[in-house]
Amino acid sequence: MAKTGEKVIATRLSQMTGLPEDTDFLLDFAEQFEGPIHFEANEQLWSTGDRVGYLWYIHFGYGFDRILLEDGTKMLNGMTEPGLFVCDEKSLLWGGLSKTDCIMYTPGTAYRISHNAWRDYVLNNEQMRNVLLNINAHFVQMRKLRLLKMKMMDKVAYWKYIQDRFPGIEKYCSQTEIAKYFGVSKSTMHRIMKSS
Amino acid sequence: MTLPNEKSTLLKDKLRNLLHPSQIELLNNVRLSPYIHHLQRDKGVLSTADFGIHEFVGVIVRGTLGVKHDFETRGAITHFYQKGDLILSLEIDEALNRQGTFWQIYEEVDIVLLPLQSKQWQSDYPQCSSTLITQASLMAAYVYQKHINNLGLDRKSYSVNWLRENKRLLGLVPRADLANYLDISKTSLKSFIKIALLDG
Repeated sequence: MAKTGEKVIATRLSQMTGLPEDTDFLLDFAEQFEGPIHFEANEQLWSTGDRVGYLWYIHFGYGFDRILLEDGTKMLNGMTEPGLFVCDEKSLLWGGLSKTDCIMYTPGTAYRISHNAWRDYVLNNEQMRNVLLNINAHFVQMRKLRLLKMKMMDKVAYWKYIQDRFPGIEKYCSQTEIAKYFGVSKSTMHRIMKSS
Repeated sequence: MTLPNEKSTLLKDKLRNLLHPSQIELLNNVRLSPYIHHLQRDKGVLSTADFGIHEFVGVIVRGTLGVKHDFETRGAITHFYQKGDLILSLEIDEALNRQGTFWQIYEEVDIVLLPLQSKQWQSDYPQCSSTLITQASLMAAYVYQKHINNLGLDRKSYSVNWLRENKRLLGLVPRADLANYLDISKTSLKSFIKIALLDG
């Protein structure tokens, strides 16, 4: 029998934290999510300029999120995959219009909670807040590593790693978006892709 | 010279900016001075052990810091903090610091900070305290997102603009660190410095 939404999310939080799946506050937090919401390939979870922001939990499906840079171009920001919680971080922090978008490249299923509901819940539930702070502390390290890879890792090796992780990425993202993800010019990205 | 009250006000302004607009009023009647700490350090390395405080949010009142890391035994610098910048201890927290991140002081610093886990602070202002801890945690990740975004911009124009706005750092930070920060070669750095200085 398929798991209900709250079980799906509570199971994932249990994997991330080591807490039992039936922990009351994990289930309670998971119950705050809407869904399941089904997506077709090429459908957007959210778009740049959205006024209402959501924290999404991806149950099935793959996609990419892109960020609008200050020069008006878009940069590939990350890959959306099952088990991931993803959102527009700037609007989670301070509200306002979304500066990112997220598109699925396969059919998918997701759950979501609005940023406001998330904030209300986290600020009023100390146990869940502590869990989320712990998860986020790990996330800070992952983000740091991403920046360091972008700066320091051999670009050809990094491209091979990304291709292995997301086969066919170049079919779904433009070369410019990918080049920006690697912090190189479009012509350098072209050379990297050719040499691999 | 910055007076103690000004330091406290400077920190409060930064905390206001950190909060979500719907939460700013939480700081309205908060008196920070009984809870804040001051730290002054000369050039060198700064780690959480130097503070004796587990988790804090602070503001640079004076001086310059660089954030350095160890990536596969090679050193890297990802950003700088200068007067008026908000700093978060989470990025150098020893418990999870797999990238060996530390703060390098390039110019004597004066930092004013609020210990987020202080029992007294948490008990006196529980709502403000939990809100700040949550926002600081989100911000710690978002800081790195901003630097990732910067690397997505055209290297030449970003570097020239940055150098123009941060001329002061040319006399403080070694060229190798500047080149590493901007993700350019030392030769490009030399040429970009020329452009930045020539154009004003």
